[in-house]
Amino acid sequence: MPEADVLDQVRAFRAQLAGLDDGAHDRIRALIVARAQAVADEQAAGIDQSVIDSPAPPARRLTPLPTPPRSFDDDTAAAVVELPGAAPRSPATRPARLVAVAAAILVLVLAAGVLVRMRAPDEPPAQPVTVATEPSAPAPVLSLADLAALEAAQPDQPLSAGEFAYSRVERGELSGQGAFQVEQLLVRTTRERWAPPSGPGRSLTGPTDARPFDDPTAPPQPFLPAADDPLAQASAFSGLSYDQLRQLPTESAALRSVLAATGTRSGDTRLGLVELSLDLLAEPATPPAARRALVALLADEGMQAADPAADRRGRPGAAFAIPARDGTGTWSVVIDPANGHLLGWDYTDPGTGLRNRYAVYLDQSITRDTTSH
Amino acid sequence: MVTLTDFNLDALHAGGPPLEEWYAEHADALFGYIARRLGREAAEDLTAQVFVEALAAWPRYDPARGSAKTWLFAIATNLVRAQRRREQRNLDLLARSGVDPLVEDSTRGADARLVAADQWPQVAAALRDLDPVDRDVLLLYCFAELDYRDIGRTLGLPEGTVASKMNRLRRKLRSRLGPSLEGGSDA
Repeated sequence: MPEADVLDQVRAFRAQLAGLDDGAHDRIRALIVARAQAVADEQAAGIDQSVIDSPAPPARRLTPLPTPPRSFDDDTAAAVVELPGAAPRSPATRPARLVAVAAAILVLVLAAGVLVRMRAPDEPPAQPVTVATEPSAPAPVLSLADLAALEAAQPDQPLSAGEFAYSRVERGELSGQGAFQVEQLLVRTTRERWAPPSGPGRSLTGPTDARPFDDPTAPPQPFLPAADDPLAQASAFSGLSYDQLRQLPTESAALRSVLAATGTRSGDTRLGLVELSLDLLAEPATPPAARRALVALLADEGMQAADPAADRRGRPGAAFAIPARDGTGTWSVVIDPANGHLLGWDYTDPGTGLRNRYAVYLDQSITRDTTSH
Repeated sequence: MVTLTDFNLDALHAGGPPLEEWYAEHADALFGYIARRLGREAAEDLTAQVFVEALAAWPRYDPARGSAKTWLFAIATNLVRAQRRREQRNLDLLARSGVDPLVEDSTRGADARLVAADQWPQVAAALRDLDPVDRDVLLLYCFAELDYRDIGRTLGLPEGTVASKMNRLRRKLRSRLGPSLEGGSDA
């Protein structure tokens, strides 16, 4: 088939939707005018000049990064629209700057007002995500060589018939609900998985909840119900089959090629490659030599030792940082220095500068029991 | 029909962008780009917001660095990114169930008839499984019809990186979607 046909399918996918009619144009124009007017009204109401000239409050930022990120406020009101490398067209006029700052303030005010608490009355508050900036106990700094040696020294744990590779992983992601109001939510779910060496396994996902992104203490709101699904063998082990997992190459370049071409996940992009590598490092049945190769692959991606840190549950560990490259952001990785087990990671989006996705590996073990923990 | 020039927006941005001209030229394309990713309702909201953001950030716009179209799609892409999870959910629902949550009626464009309706779940699954940056590249190319240079400007990527990503995306899509069309249209 000609290549153009494949892209034509994608183009036709959009063309399914009808375009704008006159009524929709009127509604959009009215929205533009109303929002522009709202900005003007805020300005006319007299915004304190000291507020305008002060840096925006860092209310929408999670854990501080080693290097200060751009704030959400910068991204939303102005920086979001700056073309890469763009120079100012002309010196910013005062009215235009006021419009930009007032828009940012208005967005924050509206965001604070529109979040709706949806927690059921009888639902116990879930444990809030711990945003730990300091380890609760000292953890040693591991070098990459230490880590590679530690992973290579882990016991090999091939699965026998009747056994499952069990994992319980909490994942969270920043999710925007609405544009102008910018209801930023942290959507969080925990997934349990039982992956057998052959045949289908089981996946128990959720329930998923959400809470305001900037308030770790707020009660989480129900978001999606739990789902109990069969797990296809072909992708049971972080996107790989058991056989693929056990036959992973032990040299990083070969491993990279295999991950780019194998499995159901996007291992052929940097974002997919790094997160797939981290997930495979957490798999209990990954052979030790492949673990060492995964560390080497991550080192090729720039992973470096960092100061000790803690995961989102406050578990202290050795920390590693994976820097931004090729349009992807950065990862902060925490590993148990005693046994090389991956505790968790945070991903910082390059566009917003926010830590907008994370994973916490709560349990990775071999079991014969398929009861939910 | 009212136009943006009917309102005294100049009071907010003296010497600002030719908003109605830009709207008339780009609103439909922006809406289509956003609607296929997030739905019609969100698209109306976000299309308006694109122009409000452009109004606010006008002093930073440098036409030498990219056309108005490129700039507006850069804004739109950033707004869509903030709702990436919603996009992922929509694609996942279509991929799993065959029900497109974003199509409310049977109205379809002529291009949609190039492939059978039962291809959409496969297209949705292919888009769902792309990483976000790759999806932005592909959809800016296919939906917004930006060239590689302007996609690079929009996403902050070198033009060569965009080109290599597109080559890889073509291969990936061909492997995901190609076999399903064997014997189908070559148009």
